[in-house]
Amino acid sequence: MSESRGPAPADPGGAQAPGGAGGQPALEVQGLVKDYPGGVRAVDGVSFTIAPGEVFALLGPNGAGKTTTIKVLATLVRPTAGTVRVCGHDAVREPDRVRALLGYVPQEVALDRHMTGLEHLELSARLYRVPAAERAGRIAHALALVSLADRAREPIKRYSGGMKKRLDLACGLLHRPRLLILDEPTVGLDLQTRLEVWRFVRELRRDGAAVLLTTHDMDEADELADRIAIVDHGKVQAQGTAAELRAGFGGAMVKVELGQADLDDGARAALAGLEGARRCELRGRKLLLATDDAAALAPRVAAALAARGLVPRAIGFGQPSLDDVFLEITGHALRDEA
Amino acid sequence: MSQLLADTWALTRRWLVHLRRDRMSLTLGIIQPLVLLTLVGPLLHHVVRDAEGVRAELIARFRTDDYLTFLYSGIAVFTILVNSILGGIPVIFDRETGFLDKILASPASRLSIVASRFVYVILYSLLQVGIVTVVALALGVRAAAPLEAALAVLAFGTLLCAGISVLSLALAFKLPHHSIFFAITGFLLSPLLVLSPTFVAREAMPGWMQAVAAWNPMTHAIEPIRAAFLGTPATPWTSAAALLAFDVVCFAFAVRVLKRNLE
Ligand SMILES: Nc1ncnc2c1ncn2[C@@H]1O[C@H](COP(=O)(O)OP(=O)(O)OP(=O)(O)O)[C@@H](O)[C@H]1O
Ligand SMILES: [Mg+2]
Repeated sequence: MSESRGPAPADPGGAQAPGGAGGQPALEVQGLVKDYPGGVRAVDGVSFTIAPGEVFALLGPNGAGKTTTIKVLATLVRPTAGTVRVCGHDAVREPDRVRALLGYVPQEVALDRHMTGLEHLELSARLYRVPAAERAGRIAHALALVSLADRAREPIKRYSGGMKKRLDLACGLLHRPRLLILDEPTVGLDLQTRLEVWRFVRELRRDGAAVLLTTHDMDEADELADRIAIVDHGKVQAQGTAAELRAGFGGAMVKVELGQADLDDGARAALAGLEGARRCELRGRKLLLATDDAAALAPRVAAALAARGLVPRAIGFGQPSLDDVFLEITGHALRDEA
Repeated sequence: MSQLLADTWALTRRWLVHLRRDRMSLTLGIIQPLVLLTLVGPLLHHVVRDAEGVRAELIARFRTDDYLTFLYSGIAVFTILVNSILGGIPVIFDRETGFLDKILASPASRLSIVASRFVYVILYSLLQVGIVTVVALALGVRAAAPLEAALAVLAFGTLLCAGISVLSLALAFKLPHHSIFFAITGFLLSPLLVLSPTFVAREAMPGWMQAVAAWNPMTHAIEPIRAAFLGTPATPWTSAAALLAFDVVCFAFAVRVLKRNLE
């Protein structure tokens, strides 16, 4: 019964696999609201859509409501309002349908310390109804994908943190989900493992699965996601491709590295008032000015600083980073938020 | 239906892996009741023999002064009680580690999540009490009617285990934290033991205690098992009815709790 619904998304060479009947989105979230008891509105009207084969990132600080959103999608938490559809199936009305289409890898590694890696994969394969004849092959493939084949028969007590995370990831994709949900897939991983996870997400996309991931890491969102939603205080503050988000920010910026960590109000006002400067932000020793024409503004900034006897260590200009976009949109830096 | 069985089996395999990796729990679970039997048995045997009134009562009522066999039935049932009352523990830890969420996010039947643990706890308890019984027989416990005795342990053990373990599972899904679970179950164990005919026949208890013991499900498992081992008359159907009624109440409560907490 498992593969009766359209071709297998992981069909090799299938490139962008169809997302189901009528090319409907892999995921459609509309006006999602979740109130926790005690009056906490964790998610406050979130809407977004993910196409088949697309990687979508929810980017936001701690407590933004990312995990809560994901738990609703994974049918673990009932929404207060709004709808969630996975390949056209309503998560509240047809939870079993939705569960079979999803892969879910939670934020915190959740494994059974008595079991080996292989036993975990066996269990996942059975619970997701992978046909018995295909189990061994899929497990071997998943183990290779996360580079755990040689450690699979060891109890996970003996795994490092990164190995556990990779095993958890492998458990989520044995049944070839249409939508794989990864809640902070690279937190706590070293650079090498992080890059492996990135490679793994790209491979999945190539196989035609849609991926929803959360992160507080700008680079990760920038690197991996086709589209990004910036979430803060339970709301989507902006969404689009990384390029679109940068464009919305208004082109370019000038970055100055100061010799000191402070600027007096007069200096700041003078800089903000420069022709072409739209906004002036001081972060530690870094001074950031948003502008449309960075090449023209940079010398003016240097002159204004020199006029006040300030000698910058370096002046540069270029594209805003997603960090800058985030700051512009939410009014606070991503890492400031508790 | 076949899907439910397949899911239940998939999850039960996990408990079997635990059993294989964690032999210590089973070993201690077998040794503990045997220690109780070999220590408390001779101690009370001694006291009972010397207290002429008690001995006369034992002989009059049970046609025996074999306190070891008398005590065995209580300890066997207590073993089952402990097992089933603690049966929900892995679930409460699964809730805390997020492992349960992973299972709940899968299409596995919700019923299978409870059923796998339920069936496992019953089979595990019967296995454990079976081994305890074999050792107890080697230690001098005698079964007047061996077949009846074995059947009594199986039937009444299962009836008691079913109600208690489903209650334990319901609590594991409902209580916010494992420490509360341990506090409640730890609190319940000793009164349930003392207010049961484990050490002293119900008839030998003070009147108020007899009244309380009548409501203790352990009582209705111990008495028919004891009668089968000692070969004394009993009312097994009354005991079975009492345990069945208890099971129905437990299941009704569990269904309500689980419905609310599972999906
Ligand atoms: N079970 C719960 N009961 C009450 N409040 C909760 C519960 N879970 C989360 N919250 C609250 O909901 C808000 C959103 O939390 P959520 O875990 O969704 O954030 P997040 O974006 O995933 O954060 P992080 O990056 O730290 O994982 C927070 O204010 C949090 O305290
Ligand atoms: Mg989170």
